[in-house]
Order: sequence, then C-alpha cells, then structure tokens
Amino acid sequence: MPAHLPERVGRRGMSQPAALRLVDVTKRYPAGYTVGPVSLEIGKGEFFSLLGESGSGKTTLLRCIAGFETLTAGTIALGGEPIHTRPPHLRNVGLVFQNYALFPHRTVYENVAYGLKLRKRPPAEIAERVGRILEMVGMPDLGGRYPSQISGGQQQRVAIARSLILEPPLVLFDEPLSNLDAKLRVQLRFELRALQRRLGMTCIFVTHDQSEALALSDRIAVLAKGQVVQVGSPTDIYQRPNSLFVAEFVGSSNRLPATLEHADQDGSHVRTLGGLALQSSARTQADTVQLVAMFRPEEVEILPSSVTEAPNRFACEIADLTYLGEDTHLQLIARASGERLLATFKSHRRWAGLAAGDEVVAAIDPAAVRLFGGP
Amino acid sequence: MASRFHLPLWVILLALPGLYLLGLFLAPILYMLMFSFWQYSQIDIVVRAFTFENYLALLSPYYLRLFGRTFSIGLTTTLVAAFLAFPVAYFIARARPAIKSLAIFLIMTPLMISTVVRVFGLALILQRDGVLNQFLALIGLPAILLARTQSAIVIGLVQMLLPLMVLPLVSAIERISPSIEEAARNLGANSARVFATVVFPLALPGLVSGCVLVYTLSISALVIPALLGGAGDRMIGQQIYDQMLVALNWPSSAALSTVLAVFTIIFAILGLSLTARAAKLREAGR
Amino acid sequence: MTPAARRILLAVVIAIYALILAPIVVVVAVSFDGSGRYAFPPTQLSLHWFQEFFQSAPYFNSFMYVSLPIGLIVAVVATFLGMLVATALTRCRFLGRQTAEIYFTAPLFVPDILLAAALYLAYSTIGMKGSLLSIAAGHLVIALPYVVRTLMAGMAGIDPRLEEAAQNLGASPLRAFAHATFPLLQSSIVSGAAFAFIVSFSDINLSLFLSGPGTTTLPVHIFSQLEFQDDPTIAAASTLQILLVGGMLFVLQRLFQRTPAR
Repeated sequence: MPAHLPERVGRRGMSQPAALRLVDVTKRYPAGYTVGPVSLEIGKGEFFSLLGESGSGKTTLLRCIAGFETLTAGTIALGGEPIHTRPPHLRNVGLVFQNYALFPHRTVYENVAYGLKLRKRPPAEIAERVGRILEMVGMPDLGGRYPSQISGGQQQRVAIARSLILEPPLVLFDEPLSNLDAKLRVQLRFELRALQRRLGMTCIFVTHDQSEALALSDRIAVLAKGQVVQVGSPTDIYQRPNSLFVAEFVGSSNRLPATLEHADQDGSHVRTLGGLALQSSARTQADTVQLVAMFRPEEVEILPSSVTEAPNRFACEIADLTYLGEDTHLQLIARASGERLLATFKSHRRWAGLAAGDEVVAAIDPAAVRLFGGP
Repeated sequence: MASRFHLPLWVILLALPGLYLLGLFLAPILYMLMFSFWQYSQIDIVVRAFTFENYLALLSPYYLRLFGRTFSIGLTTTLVAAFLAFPVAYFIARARPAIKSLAIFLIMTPLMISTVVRVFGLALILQRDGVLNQFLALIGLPAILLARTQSAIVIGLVQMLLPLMVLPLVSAIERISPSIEEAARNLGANSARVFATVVFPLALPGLVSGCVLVYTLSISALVIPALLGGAGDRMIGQQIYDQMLVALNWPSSAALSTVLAVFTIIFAILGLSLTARAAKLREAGR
Repeated sequence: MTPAARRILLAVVIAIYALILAPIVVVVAVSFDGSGRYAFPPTQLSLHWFQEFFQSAPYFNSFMYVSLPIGLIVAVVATFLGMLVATALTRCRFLGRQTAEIYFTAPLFVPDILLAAALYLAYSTIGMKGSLLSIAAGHLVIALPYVVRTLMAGMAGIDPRLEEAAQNLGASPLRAFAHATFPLLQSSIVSGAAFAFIVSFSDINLSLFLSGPGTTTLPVHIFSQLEFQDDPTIAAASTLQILLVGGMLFVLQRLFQRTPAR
C-alpha cells in the first residue's frame, strides 16, 4: 500500500491522537482580506463548531486545515504532527462539502469505496466496510444508485459515509446541512450528533446557523471579520457572551445604552439613557463609562401587579403581543423611560387576557443584566 | 494550484501551446512584416536591403482602385449582412429551445463546409443558364446576368458571412429582457416602433462586433472574388495571392498583407471602442 | 408580437435561410444528376459522378492521402494542446490570465489569408514548403482556438470541488484530475476534436498557399477544377465534403447538444 498514506491501526476508532492545534494561523489574500491570526486547540472526540456569518472566515479556516488554502503564517498540528506543509491528499482529514461533491459518474458504492480503492485495500474488505458504513448512515440498499438518482438528504449521507469510511482522526464539515430543507436539517442534525458520539470522532463543523451550533457542539468558536471573537461551550457563549457582538449574534437580546451610577459589592447600578434604573451583578471597572446593558427576552419576567418587591422591577405597557403557539412575544414600553424591550415566555404560563395596551410589571434578575463597554 | 517542480502549474501547461503559437503564428507574421521592408529582385526574389518601395508602390492608381473597390465591396457586404441578420437573430433569440437549436445548427453548418463548395453551388445558381435564370424563365421573367460581377461577389460574401453577423446579434438580443419589449408595446408602440426604439439600440453592441467581424473578413476574401468576380473585380486577397505565388514578388505581397493587417487592427479597435460605448449606453438605460 | 408580424418575420427568416442553404442544396442535387449538365432538379438520378470521384486519382488522393490524414493529425494534436490550455485557463489563477486567453484565441480574429501568406514566406525561407506536416502545422494554428473554447466551456461546467473531494480522499492532484474531472470531459473532448478536424478539412485559404505537388487538399483540388474545368465530378466531391462535415456536426448536435463556439 502507498507508503505515504496513513495505515489503519486497530479495529475501529482513532488511529492517531486526534487533538488539533492551530497556532497563529493566518491567511492573507492579495485583495487585503485577512483571516487570523487564529489559535485554537481541539480535543479528541470533541464536536467543535466554527460559527459566523458569510465572510467571517470560517470556511477559509476549514479549507486551511484541509489544505486547499496555503497559510501565510502559523502552524497546524494534528495529533502532535505538523500538517500545514502537506498537500491536501496527504493530510488524512475528512472533508464533507456543502454541496456534497459526489462524483456524478460513479455509483454510491463507488463513491464511498473511492478512498479505500486508492489505498489499495482488498475488494472483500472494501465491500464489507462500505456495507457497514452505508448501514450506519441509514442507506443500506442504495449502493447501486447514482447521485442524480437520490435525494439531497441521501446525497449528504453518502458524502458523510465517503469521508467516515476512512476513519480519519479529524472530520471537517463545511455547512453540510444548509442545502437541506428545515425538517430534514433538524433530523440529520441529530443523526450526525449520534454518529459522532458513537464513533468518537473529532469533528469541526462550520455553520452560520447559531441554533445548529448550539445544538450540536461541545464547544463553539464565534468568528467575525476573520477573527475568533469567543470560544466556549454553548452555555458559555449564550449565557456569558464576552462582547455585544456575540450577545447579539447568538440568540436575541435587548440592549439599552446606559451610564454607571455607582458600584458596590453587590454589583453595579446603572441608569439607562431613558432614565430607567437597573441593577446588575456584574462588576465594572471605571466610574463614568458609557455602557450597554443587555439581557435576553426570556430573562424578562412578567409578574402579577400584586408583586411589589423584585429586583429591577418596572411598570410597562404592552405595545404589541405576538402569539407564536409555544411562545408569546411581547413588545414592552417601560413606563418610566419610554424605552422598548422584547420579552418572551412560554404561552402556557401566561395570565388570562393579556392584550396590547395592558399594563404589566416586568422584572429582571440582576445576574441577567450583562454590561458591556462602549456606546 | 502548485506543482512539484517549483514552477507554477500554469507555466508548465501553457509552455508547449504558447511556444507553438509563438513559432507558427506570431513569428511568421512578424517575419512577413520584416519582409515587406526588403527589396524585390527578379533574380533572387528578395534582397535584404531596407526599403520603403513596396509600400510606396501601393500608392499607385492601380492599388488605390484596388483598395477602393475592396473597401466598398466590404461595406456593401456588411450593410446587407446586417440588414438580413437582424430578423434571423431576433427570430432565433426569441425561439423555443427546440427550434432554436435547429435554427442555430442550420446556420452554423454552412459555415463549416468549405467555401469552395458553397461558391460552387452559388455559381451554379447565378450562371447564365443557372438555377436562378431557369426559374425566372419558368415564370416568364428575363434572365439576370450575375455571374462574374461584383454583385455576385457581394452575394457570395453575404452568404458566407451572414452566420457570423447573426451569432453576436443573437447573444445581444437574448440579453434584452422580453418584458422591456412588452412594456413598450403596452405603452402603445407597434412592432416597427418597438424594434426601432428598444431592440435596435439595445442590440447595438452585438451589431457592432458582428459588423467588425464581417467587414474584416470581407476585405480579406480570396476564394469568393476569385471564383465569382470578373477580371476587373479583383480584391486585395487575390492580389496578395498572385504577388506571392504567381509573380513571386514576395516583398510586395508582404507589404500588402501588412497593410491589410493594419486595417484589420484599426477596425477591431474601432469596433471594440464602439461596442464599449454602445454597451455603456445600454447599461445607462437600465 | 402580433400574429401578423410574427408571420411576416417567419416568412422573411425562411427566405433568408433559403438563401444561405440554397447553394448547398443545389450542389447535392446536381451531384446525383446523370446527364452531366448540372441539371437542377436532376433529370436522371445516378451515382456516376461519385464513382468518378473514387476512381479519379487526383480527387481520391487529395481526399484519402492528404485532407484526411492532415485532418486527423490536426484533430489529435489540437485536442491535446487545447486540453493543456483549457486546464490552465480554467483551473489556475494567475496574473495575465485574460491576456493568455486572448493570446490563445487570437487566430480566430485574424483573417486567415494573412496567416497563409506569412506561413508561406516562413516555410519557403526554411525550405519546408508543401509537405503534409507543414499544412497540418498551419491548420493547427487556426483549429486550436475552437478546441480551447469548447474545452473551456466544458470544464467551466464541472465543479472544482469534485477534484478537491478526490484529493481530500487521498488522490494526488494528477489522479484527482483523472478520476474526477476527466471522465466528465469526454463529450467536450470529442466535440473539440471533431471541430478541429472540420476546420482543417474545410480550410481553403491556408491550403491554397501551402499546398504543393502531391499535397493538394480536397478543397484546393475542387478550387482548381472550378477555375479551369467543368467536370461534374466536382459536384460529387463537394457533396461528399458536405455529407462528411454536415454529418459530423449533426451527430455532435444530437449527442452532445453542441455547436462550435466562435
């Protein structure tokens, strides 16, 4: 077998230590666009997402790892070994393309068997492994079909099978679900996660869909304008965004410009531009600094007017009510300051007869009031 | 894409074809340019002494008549071709896919069949006792004597070059959204008006590039004037051939070819700039 | 369009097509006329002139031993060179790519009589006049742009990600091209080769300047017969030319939906 291709060791599972380390990875384009420097460490068996809008650099980063873009600076090490100087066909990382890139002139079987054929495995072994992987992705009988004869979702499974059959230490997914319709996307999402857990594969998943990233990942790196803005678990990203950008990119948010009034051991007291007083458990450094107070719509509690004592309690008028089945969205106007905010809650908890124009009482847990610098 | 040999891939790929064209296209043409400045000698054919005499000879009355005749035949051909090409191009551009491919096939195939064959057929038709006159006799009309005339040359050239005018026009018209025509109609324009105010102006870029192509090829024609024209209807192409292979006055032929080449370049540049301006007009009207 | 206008347009278009196709129709019809007087429509149907063609040495030799071999050589070499150029122009990013594209399609826009005269001079100087190879070399120049255009169009329609997928699965760049892209190019390659053959087979201007004794192409022989003789074998020769070229184009159109791009 070709000496330069990695050998399969052991029955299944990782053939090499799967940690991926990116150090100061930079890709500079002649037009001026730069991605990086990016430094990341991904652990073995981890489901790691790169989340960002188009143009944020996430696909570029993925292609750098796969070898289809050469680095301007930095190193990439897979299992401790540097791979950034190797050509794409010698890197042994799987890549599942957004548009699947199945060979249209080969059958499903031939597509999936392609990598093994290149590695000169015996036909019997190929047949057995192809059969097994097709069953694993839920397509046991479609080996003889051509890509044009199967649906988008099935093509995606074949693309995944084609990469997985080689049991690479790392699998890269370039927005694999974005070409599918919503229901299929959700279904395939769970299957993918189950497959990943079952095989213990390390994978990097590129997406612009934040709910996808939150649902699938062990950790997420949020990217913007070619830089990593925050890395953390879904909970970290969602509950403890490190910047207004991340706060607004993942999930919805209310943002109110405010100034710091005073700080004590409980946290900070701020006043919004409209004059609303808010208490936050966050600590801030300087004194007279421009801030933005941010809290999520589901963190705005609607209380019965009988409750008179609650932190961050203020009277509101309902400007608009939208019933969405499971959730209800309220557009509120704070009486004291005239500022608008969005509140959401599960519909089954609503009190009878809420309608636009009603007066309600809103309250926010100080721990939910996050403060960010800047206007 | 990088390659193993420390040379970019494109250099490796383009080396052989690039050198081939250099040696068999660019080099010979430059050589001919050089040749045009050498002296003609009846004994050795050419003496490598620098001279302008070949070009000066082109200013004689004979050559000036030759140029005038060639350019006017070219102009007539281009105008007739443009006039005939528009309806065909419009028809093809707006046709159903099945009809469109048949129509394009029918117009491209003659282009690829050798010119001599088509000229032979045309001669058969235009002869004194040819198909055309047989047909006219049949319906009681007097014969038209077109063989060996300038008109025959124009007919032959138009017949050969019409597809080259049609194709760019088809592209240009296809780019005009049918809804623009429909809007004009909705505002009260009849078919002629729609053509004059919508189709023609917007198809101008295609028309210009078609005209440049047809004109350039008309003035350099050899076989068609040789077989369809009379003794007094010589065009530049025939002169180039005769000087080169019959009179063996290579420098003179080279000079004439160079002049033709220069005119070709001038018309191409003119055409390109006109096309660009016409295209800008088109964009502005969006 | 109003129905009346549409009918007028159709009539005009049919008339113009008749103008373009008439000579071809007349030639084919006349070639089957047994009387030898170019009667149109043919008075007596006969294959006599076709027999004459195959029995007449100048006609047959120019077809079998000159035009045909040259056409085949040009088809093969032009396809090979065209493949190199098309790959470079569609798959590589480099400064001056636009210029390179113009360079390799330039012969399309130069009247071939200029190239013919220039090659005549060049060949005469180095003593290469009149051989099969020198004619083929000249045809190659004018045929190459057709192949390049056809192949570029074909390659542009193939997703470059297919090659990347093959590389990602372990194929070296060359193998990836061979496995992923090349199989999908077959129709373009066949079309390109066919166009190269047709361009070479039908050429008259280059052949007029470059033919020598014993290396007369079929179109040149027809030309010489037209100028000096009145032999209906010309019609048969012409019809064979029409059928060969027309037939190839028709098959290409049916199989691959392809017409030559200029």
